[in-house]
Amino acid sequence: MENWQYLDRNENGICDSLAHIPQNIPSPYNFYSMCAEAMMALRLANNYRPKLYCVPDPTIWGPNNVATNGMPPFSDYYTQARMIPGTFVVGFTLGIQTASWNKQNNLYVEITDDGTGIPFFVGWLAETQFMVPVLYNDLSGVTSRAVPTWKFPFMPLVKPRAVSDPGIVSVGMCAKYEPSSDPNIWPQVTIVCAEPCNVIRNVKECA
Amino acid sequence: MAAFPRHLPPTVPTQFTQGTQGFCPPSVNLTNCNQPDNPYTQCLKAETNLFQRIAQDPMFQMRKFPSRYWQLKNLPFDEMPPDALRLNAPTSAPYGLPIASVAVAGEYYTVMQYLVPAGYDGVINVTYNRFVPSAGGSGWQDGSGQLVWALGINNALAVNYTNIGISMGSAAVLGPVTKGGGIRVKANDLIQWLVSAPTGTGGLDAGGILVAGIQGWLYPNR
Repeated sequence: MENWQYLDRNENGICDSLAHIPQNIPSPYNFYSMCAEAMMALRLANNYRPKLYCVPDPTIWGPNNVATNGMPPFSDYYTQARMIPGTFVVGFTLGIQTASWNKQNNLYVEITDDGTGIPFFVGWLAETQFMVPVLYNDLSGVTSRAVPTWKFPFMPLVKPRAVSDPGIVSVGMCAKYEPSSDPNIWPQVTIVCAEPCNVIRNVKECA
Repeated sequence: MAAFPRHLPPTVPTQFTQGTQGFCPPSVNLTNCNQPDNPYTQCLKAETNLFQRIAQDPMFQMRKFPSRYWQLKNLPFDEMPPDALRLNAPTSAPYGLPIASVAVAGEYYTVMQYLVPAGYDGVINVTYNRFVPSAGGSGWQDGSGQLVWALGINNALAVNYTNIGISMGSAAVLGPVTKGGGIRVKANDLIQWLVSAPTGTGGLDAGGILVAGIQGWLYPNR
């Protein structure tokens, strides 16, 4: 490969996938339209299947009915998700599951491709819920049924981000909160991916 | 290049097949993955492969640094380059002022605060945090958990530098410039040494001194 083919891409400050079309040097004027095209291509492509990675594993924090379980305030947690190289990360959701869920910007989340060190997302977040459980009463005043459906918003990335070889995505969390007054939290990030489904890797592991 | 068709017929499998891979569990093999790639898949995979080739090129890593570092044998965060500055930010604070006077158990207080100067990125490879009792002072045992330290970067916590219950490092000497293994920091990053007294401030020497600092190097990022 000639050097000029990607040196110019880097000069423009865009150094990840779907921007390396030699005929279209990305710039602030065409970048987002190219992102939209990339999302469109992924939508129409075959041989990709949806895949969700729940990070960390639910067993890490333990049951949330024990106050000493979970992630204590003012601590951090880092883990990795193993994906097939070529997987596209298209977005994520976040659940924290605590009484202090409504505190704003108290959880730091970073999702990084280890192959390049380029982060997919970095920022302070708070758990946002569209709906909380409500106990409904029937006409006689008897509590009839709880609606335990909590809907967390899906936060899409600007464009699908390719995971490079060896397919390791680091997920880091950092809880701020107040150590003396806030309870532990049970954060979990769900990474929404499009995985190439006709790629054969590590056959022995799956046999 | 011919334009891509706007709409493609959906690839609906006529029957459930195990797939040629043979190792996919049936629960994830409901989609037929054995169809030939359509133009969109081909385009995405070509982009992915190109990105893969670029990302694996060592020049891709080096291009993120100014040209003055291109001739270096090691990256400027891996080994201190010749034009780097030594970073040495020690701080000592009286224990009574940040913690004992406020006396809220478990709260974190800032002992040291350092702002990486604009125009420089850097590496922290030496940290130290100590509690020095006053002359004749008592009530302090290192490692007892009476004081817990944490290193913060931009209001987040540095990886594996939290819940430090012991004194670490020495402020008496300038630490070595080791090769690799440091904490990379960027310009305008806020570095903080934080300390708390989880079990309350009782029993600690109120005349003690908190000593904390960071060492490393800073290299011009332009």
